[in-house]
Amino acid sequence: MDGYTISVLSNIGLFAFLAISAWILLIAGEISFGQQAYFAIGAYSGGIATAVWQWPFAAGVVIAVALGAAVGALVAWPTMRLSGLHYAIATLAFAELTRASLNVFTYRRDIEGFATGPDGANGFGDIRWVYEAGIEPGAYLAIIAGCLGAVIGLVALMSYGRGMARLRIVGEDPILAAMQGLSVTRTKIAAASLAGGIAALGGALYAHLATYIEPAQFSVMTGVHALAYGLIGGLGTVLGPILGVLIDIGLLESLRVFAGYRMIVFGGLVVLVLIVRPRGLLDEPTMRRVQAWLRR
Amino acid sequence: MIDFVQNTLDGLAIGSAYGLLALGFTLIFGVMRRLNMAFGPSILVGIFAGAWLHSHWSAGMIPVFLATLAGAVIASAYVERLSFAAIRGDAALASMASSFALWMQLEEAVARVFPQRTYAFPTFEGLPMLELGPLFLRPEYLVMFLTAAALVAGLQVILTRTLFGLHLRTLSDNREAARVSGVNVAQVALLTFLLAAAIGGVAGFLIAATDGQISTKLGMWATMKGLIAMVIGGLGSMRGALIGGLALGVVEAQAQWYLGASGREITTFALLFVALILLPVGLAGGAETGARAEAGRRL
Amino acid sequence: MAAALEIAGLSLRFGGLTALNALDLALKPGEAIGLIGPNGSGKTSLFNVLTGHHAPDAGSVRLDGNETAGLPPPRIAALGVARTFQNLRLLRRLSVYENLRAARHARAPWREALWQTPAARRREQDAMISLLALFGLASKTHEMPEALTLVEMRQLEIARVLAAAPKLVLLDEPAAGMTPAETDRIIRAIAEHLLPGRSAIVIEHKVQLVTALCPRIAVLDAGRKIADGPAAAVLGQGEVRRSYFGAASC
Repeated sequence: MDGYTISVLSNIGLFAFLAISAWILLIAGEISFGQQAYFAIGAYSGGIATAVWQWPFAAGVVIAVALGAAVGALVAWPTMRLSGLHYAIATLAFAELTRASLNVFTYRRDIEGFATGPDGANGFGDIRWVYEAGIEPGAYLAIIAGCLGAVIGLVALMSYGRGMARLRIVGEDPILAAMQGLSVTRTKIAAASLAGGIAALGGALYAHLATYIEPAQFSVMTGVHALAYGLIGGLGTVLGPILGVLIDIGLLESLRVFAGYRMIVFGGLVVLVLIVRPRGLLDEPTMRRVQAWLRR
Repeated sequence: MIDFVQNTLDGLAIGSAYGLLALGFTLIFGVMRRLNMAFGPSILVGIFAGAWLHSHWSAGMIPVFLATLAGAVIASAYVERLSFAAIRGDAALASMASSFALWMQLEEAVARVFPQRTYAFPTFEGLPMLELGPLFLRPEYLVMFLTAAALVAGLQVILTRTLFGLHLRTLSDNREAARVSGVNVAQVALLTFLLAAAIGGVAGFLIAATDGQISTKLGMWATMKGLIAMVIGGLGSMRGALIGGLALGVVEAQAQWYLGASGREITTFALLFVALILLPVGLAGGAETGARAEAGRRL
Repeated sequence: MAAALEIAGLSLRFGGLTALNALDLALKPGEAIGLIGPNGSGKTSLFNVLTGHHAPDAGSVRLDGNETAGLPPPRIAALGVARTFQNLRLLRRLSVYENLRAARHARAPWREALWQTPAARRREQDAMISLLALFGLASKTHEMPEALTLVEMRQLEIARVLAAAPKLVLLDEPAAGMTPAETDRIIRAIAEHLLPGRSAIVIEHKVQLVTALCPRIAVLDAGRKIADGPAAAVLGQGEVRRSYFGAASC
């Protein structure tokens, strides 16, 4: 693989975390415009852990995921009783609050003669763990793929167990879910926590690939894209959001003929898909047909 | 104290433009029960049409204003056909995603045609600064406030005195009742969409003429301000949209003055977050409308 | 013998509208009672209070001695209350199998959200499929609910109630919109599988169903109980018969 392919694939992988994160909340019946906040939390906390505190990479990733999941649950606790549009705007407000706060967040330490750490709107550079450890881009792509595989595996386990069914029941009909004995609030908080952890994992991986992050990268645009990927790729399977990312970044980025018109083409494509398939390409009926075919 | 009053005055003026944006969102949400993410970018198309007329033909305020309205209405019609009329009634999420895709499309189309970072927009030249004792009022702000007030009054007449207004209100209140009583839902929806675009176009024009320059960022800006003002005011209520817009304007102006730009962002979003949790019915409170009840459910 | 369900002084108001007005009703264990009354008399509102969807404004509901008035729906479900819905409440994006299994998630431990052993999964599958077979739905296990007929949908709801293994069963017009032959099938399914060993309240307009399932009938009007007693006696009151069943369905 050449460097360009590796970088496109890495990007696809990193965006997939964010898209899966938004997708999980969609399944639980909530629209989030704000998953980029957890991506940012993961990127900053993971970066601080390795670059400022000089922790090992794995510890940085773990702390990022834990923080993302904790903040996700904490934010969900008061907001989960909101629903529909109110919840969507609350997540937007939280994400913009996070971004604006990072704009004034400064935490610098002297590391080997250089001031290192987040410096408000100037961003956070020198997150160099991956390069100092001599990890090649190809190997780092493998790490991204491994983590993504773990997330997909987790969702697969939840589909085999009761987790995804619980999310889908609560998402589709919260009143019925409650009468079946399911606590809607607790289920949704669990979903938000899971979504926060997954986005933070992507964020931590992103920070170490980019080595430089700044608050402006975690704008509403990023979050709304993540939301759109799931809706385009399909709500029937966790592969849906990944398909959405593949179509946008993979297909259009690599087909250079669309350079400069990517959004015009992508936008048109999405609009056509949604007219025919309102719940995305890999929607529930499609997945059911696939399962029926597998059972034969 | 004088600063505080001055900020409030400025905030109310900007807030009246936010109120118009929120009103556009509320009208669309009322009849469609769906979110039009491409509302701001449609206005963007209008503003750039106006700016083009201004820079190529040195057009004056009135042609630029009309071009802005026309651009916003045409772009909105495009959005309505593809993202709303063409998508099944029970798929509100799909409409939201689809209108977001058109947002991307419109924004990039504008950026292709207008590659510079900013463009000049005609301003209200030659109007004197107004002095009210120790307070100052920018004339642009007075125009903004008065236009918004006139527009709201006009809208009130349309809503209460015309058959279209009656149908629009029926549809906002109870979709099923509207359908049963013979309201042409598709037609009223399209007209409402265009009416909302025209209101948004006016707001966009006023904002652009006050700043004197425009960029493609205005699309996202308008969608966000309108959406936020609508939600803090109380979904589905026109009075709420205006109150929400004014409140947002005043809070932003005060925070900007006392806390600076980053302080303004932090304060505004923190207040928005807290307000949503403590007061989900919005500032206007009041009666439960069909649209508001439905906003609480899944989109 | 202690009552399985004891409702006392139950009131529910929506603004100026009184849905339930100081309602008293007691059920013995294993007893099935038919609940009749005109539209808007508070029958479905009673179900909504009994399942926790609405908190009552006054009164108490005791289920095997436990006060349930005002508890949230999941807590009440855990105490053994399950219902069907007049307008059907099936999850249209989930298969028939998953619709049935929806009743089982709450009582499973949280760790099963992530990990269910293959053996446990197979046991559950067998139980669910034999339940579907009871109602003639085994061949539809992997279909979506929209592929079912109205009768099948109602049977699926009844199977879902059964899957929850409740103590108190609430059936809201289980035969609405059905032909007499279909009603017969539903009556048989309910009588054979659902009622044995459980207390039940059945809302129904069809005399055929009420008399077949419920030895006792209570009549609601404007949120009040206006009659309560053995089915034959209550139905024998010509007035009740005429006003609540209409001539056509008699």
